[in-house]
Amino acid sequence: MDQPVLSLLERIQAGDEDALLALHARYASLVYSVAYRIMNDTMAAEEVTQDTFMRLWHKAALYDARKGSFVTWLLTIARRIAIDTFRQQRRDPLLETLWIDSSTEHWENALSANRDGDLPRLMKVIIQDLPEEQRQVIELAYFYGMTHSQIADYIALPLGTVKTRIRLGMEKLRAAWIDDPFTDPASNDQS
Amino acid sequence: MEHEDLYDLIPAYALDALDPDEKDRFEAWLRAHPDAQSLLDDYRQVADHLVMMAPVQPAPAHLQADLRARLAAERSSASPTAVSAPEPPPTLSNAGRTLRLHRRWRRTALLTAAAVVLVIVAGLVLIRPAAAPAENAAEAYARIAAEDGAGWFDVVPGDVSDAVTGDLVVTPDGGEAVIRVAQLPPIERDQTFQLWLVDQSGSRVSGGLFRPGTDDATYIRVPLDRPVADYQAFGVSLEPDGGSPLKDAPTGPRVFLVPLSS
Repeated sequence: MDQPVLSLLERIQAGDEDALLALHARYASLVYSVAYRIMNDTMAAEEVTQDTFMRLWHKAALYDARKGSFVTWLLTIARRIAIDTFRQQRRDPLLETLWIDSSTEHWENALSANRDGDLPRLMKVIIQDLPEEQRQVIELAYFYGMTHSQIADYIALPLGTVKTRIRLGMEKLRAAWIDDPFTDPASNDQS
Repeated sequence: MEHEDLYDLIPAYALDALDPDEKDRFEAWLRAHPDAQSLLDDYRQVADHLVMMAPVQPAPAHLQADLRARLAAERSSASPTAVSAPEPPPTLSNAGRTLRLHRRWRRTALLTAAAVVLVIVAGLVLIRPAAAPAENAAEAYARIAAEDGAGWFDVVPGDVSDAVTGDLVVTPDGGEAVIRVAQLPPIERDQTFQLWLVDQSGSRVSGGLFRPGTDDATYIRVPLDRPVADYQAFGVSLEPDGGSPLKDAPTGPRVFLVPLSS
């Protein structure tokens, strides 16, 4: 039977390497997936994955269960390490969207334990209903840490257009998350 | 900037997509409008789940072994007073030490990973060791690299490709050596790579045959019958299938050399 995450984190703080390896066995694929989405390179993604778990090894005490789920915290670490590495290596962001439909259940299983909102509905909007131009700017901000201005420069669009696309896309996602009946997530505003 | 404009920036703030000056204005506005906090919390929860935009891909199986190697490397590199246990309240100095150790072994672990895949999946490393080892060459490389006092020597490209890179690690007593080499050139079916051990007198002895892998790195255990100090170099040549027709000399071009006179 899987040990609870908090128990494993306590063991990590006591220097138990097996506890870290247990968390690695459980979450390495999710961390690797985020890293690969950003780095778009197998070796670099592996490096980010291992960096993430070494960070966990040293910083496990910083996890605060009151602030959110462990998985979310771990994947945030992975994303930040990947973004830092991406910037240092001056790579080019991947503009086209990657998606594997059959993989959604992995995310749902991993993220549903501590969810406060409607995860399947959010997932459906991400997969089916988010207009490509809104998805693109959100992905550039989320996966590459780009600001409004950086995105506008990168995809050669007016700053106002980028701001509008981010806002409209995020509004759709929020509506799906809170299951807002007054917002139609399938509404594809082309701004 | 008007209230409405700042209100519209809540989603972008949750994504951390505001430019610095815009962010400063927004945060000042947010402090004055605590009613906006719950909306921001919604958007932050959404942002926390945007990882779902990344397709799930299985992590390579060798990563767990690599992590073990990194932990072992860090443990063995720590000073006697700096035990391997993680430090609960991190400090800047400890973080710096950790980062340095981490960087020191990162390449080793990653290349070990590549080689494990190479050996297990592709099964292309055909080098003949002096005796069948309990660990493969990649594992031996990681173990030796983690030892205090291990020797390091660079791979020098030969006549076939300038892109060949890598290094050789040697145990402190000189009794074991493993070469890690990347970007080996592709070869034909009727060709092979051959390892040569060149002693201080210039005599060459074959160290075995191998083919390049499909991944970035290939690990080659050097079959030593004497300490490394007794050799001046290890080299690899490109030979016809079956190896050099000459027993004690290469006939093909040099692929790379590892000079040991550092």
